[in-house]
Amino acid sequence: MVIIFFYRRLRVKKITPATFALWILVCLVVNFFAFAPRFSDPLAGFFGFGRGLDLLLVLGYALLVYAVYRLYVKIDEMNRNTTELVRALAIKDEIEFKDIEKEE
Amino acid sequence: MSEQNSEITKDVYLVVPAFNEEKTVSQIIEGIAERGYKVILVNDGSNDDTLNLAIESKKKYPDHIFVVSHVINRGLGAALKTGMVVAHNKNAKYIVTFDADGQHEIDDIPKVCKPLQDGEADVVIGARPFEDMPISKSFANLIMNALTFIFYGRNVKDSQSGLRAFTAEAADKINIVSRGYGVSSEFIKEISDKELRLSEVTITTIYTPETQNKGTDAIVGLRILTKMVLDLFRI
Repeated sequence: MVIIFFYRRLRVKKITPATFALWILVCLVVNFFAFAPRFSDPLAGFFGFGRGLDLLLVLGYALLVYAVYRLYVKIDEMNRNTTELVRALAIKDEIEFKDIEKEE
Repeated sequence: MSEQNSEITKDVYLVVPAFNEEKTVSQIIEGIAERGYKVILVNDGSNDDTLNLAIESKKKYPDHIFVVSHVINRGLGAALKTGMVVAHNKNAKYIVTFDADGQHEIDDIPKVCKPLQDGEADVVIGARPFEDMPISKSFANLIMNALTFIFYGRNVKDSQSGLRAFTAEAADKINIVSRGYGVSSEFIKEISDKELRLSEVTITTIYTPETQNKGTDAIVGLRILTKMVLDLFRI
């Protein structure tokens, strides 16, 4: 499903082949460890976790926190840009007496 | 009401942000214009008749009332900043922010301008006596004063007052990012950071059912607190 989603985005040139390849790699790695969790145990042990699944959960949580923070920053930036735009419009279109006379 | 001494009103621009203030906007801006001050009304995307009423007022006082309008609502802080930019473009010497809901006394304007005109301060805050407020409001404002002190290290009598006056130079130094009610505490932060001389004068507060529905209550206070915490993480 994920591969189809990204393949469609690649076809309409919404993502680059490099991004597509990266996502395919992520999918393969996640699927590999999902079906063969024991292979992740040595890696988990290296980071001090008992099971590979624990490492995945902690990594997933850290990624989610990071993603939420990035979203917060992005939304804040968009809000600021919108305000700047609205302000520029308001100042440019200050209601002048001649405008009022024109309307009447 | 007559036009006040032109030396007092000269180069003083009032910034009045308004969001759905059709009941009071005409009375406020015409009252200010009648006294000889220049007033910039910033309509902040109101969905009532605020903008049309402001235009009607401008017809009566074309040289004293200026109207700018946000096409969508962007919040008190954003509207104040827009008004201050317009005042700067018009070469204002003193900029006064004034709420459009009718809670301020127009005759308090000379009081907040005097320390600036006498060269004693860069910024003046009109402090509302808390004993005149309803208990819920005075409690919320006390909490906000405490939070402003904790976060920004400045102890002021009324951190959430909407009646403030700035010299043009001070207004230029102040950088406002907050869009909503958090702007009041942000002004204090900027005054502190930029080491501006602050003076506080006691002003009259008029509490009506309309003015009680706006301003700082527990919910607004919580929002401001959240914003203050998030601003600590701003990069």
